[in-house]
Amino acid sequence: MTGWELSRPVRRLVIVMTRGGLRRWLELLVVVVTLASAACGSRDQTLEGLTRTSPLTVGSVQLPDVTTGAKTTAFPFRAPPGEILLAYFGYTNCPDVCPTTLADVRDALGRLGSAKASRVELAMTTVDPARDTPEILNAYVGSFLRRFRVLRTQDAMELRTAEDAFGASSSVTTTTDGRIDVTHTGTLYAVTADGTVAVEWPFGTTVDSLTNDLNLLLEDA
Amino acid sequence: MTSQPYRAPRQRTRLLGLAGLLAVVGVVGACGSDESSGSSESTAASSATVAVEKPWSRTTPSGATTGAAYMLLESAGGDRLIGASVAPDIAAKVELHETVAAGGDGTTASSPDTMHDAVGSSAEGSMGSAEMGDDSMGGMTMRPVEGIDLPAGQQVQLEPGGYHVMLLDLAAPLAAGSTYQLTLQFEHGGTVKVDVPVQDSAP
Repeated sequence: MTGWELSRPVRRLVIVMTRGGLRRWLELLVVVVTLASAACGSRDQTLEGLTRTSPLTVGSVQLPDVTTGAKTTAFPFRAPPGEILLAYFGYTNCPDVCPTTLADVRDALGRLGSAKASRVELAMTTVDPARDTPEILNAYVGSFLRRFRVLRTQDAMELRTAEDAFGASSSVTTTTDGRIDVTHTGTLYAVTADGTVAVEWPFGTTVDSLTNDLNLLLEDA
Repeated sequence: MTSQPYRAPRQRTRLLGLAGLLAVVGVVGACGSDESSGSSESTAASSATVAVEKPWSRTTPSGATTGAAYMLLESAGGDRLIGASVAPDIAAKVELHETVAAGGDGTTASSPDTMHDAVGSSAEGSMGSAEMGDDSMGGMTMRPVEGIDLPAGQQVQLEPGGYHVMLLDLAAPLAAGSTYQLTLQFEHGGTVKVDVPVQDSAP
């Protein structure tokens, strides 16, 4: 339907209420506003990321918190009440995937505005603890975001357990010619205050989708 | 006596129509595209056959020692990017890489198509947990490539999640707002020097 048709009942009302030239202006105004709302459009009121019929529970998973100034040493994967925790597994020598995802989160939070952004925190777990020291991790994530946690364990089993809870995985191997190859799940996870994963965004999810979903999650948080 | 000029009714209607049209265009334009309006100057450099457009590198995060350069390449007659280099005061080594989705059995699939398909087909809503159980799902890795083919007349993208020129052992972090020179080597088209701007987000 065109803006003109959509605005028909309103225009009728306007015609009844006014007369003459003023009526034309008002009709036009109504059409413009209707077209504008249609154009600006409401994005989906549904989540654009991936959801599961049985959401993953990760609230009981803890990893050592090496964030500068952290109050406690163990960090559980659950958001504070009213907030959203973003969880990501990556490493700082990653030239492409990790910076892209962190930059996209930064951009999405920018669009949400500071009030909403202050209710979102990202916890990055390094999959390459040998090279990623706490200092490097804090500086790296801090380059993108103001509210963040960095988690690091040198215990391979502890890392594996945490990854399994998210359905994630990683590996670090050194080739014969000395190259270090890292594979890691590029998915970004949104965890709510009850310690469940509300939505997962695969690598490549657009900033639009992230923003849309974060808005919806914060409404329910 | 009237303070305003007399306008014939038809003319007034036209003016209203024009005002309305401008209002609609203005409003639609204002809320319109979510894409950031393109980068100021996309430095276009071309040899006889290869056009390079929209090169960019992301600002280096603190503590990172690697970087990536992205761009659009097009060769009218067909060519192959076989190498790249920078001055030592930028990085020690430059390689061509491809980010790919890692398969559970160690196989890899070319990333851009796979990931775009995955996002497009499965971002509809709920999925059964069985489908997501595979722990290789979403695994990303990089591998060096010998060259990047440029089929004749086809634009090839070096972009996040796909092909990229990787800078290893950065001498110093790439600073937002700066520019550095990247030399590209083509199989047929010789070398092309490209000025790569450094910025926080894609152009």
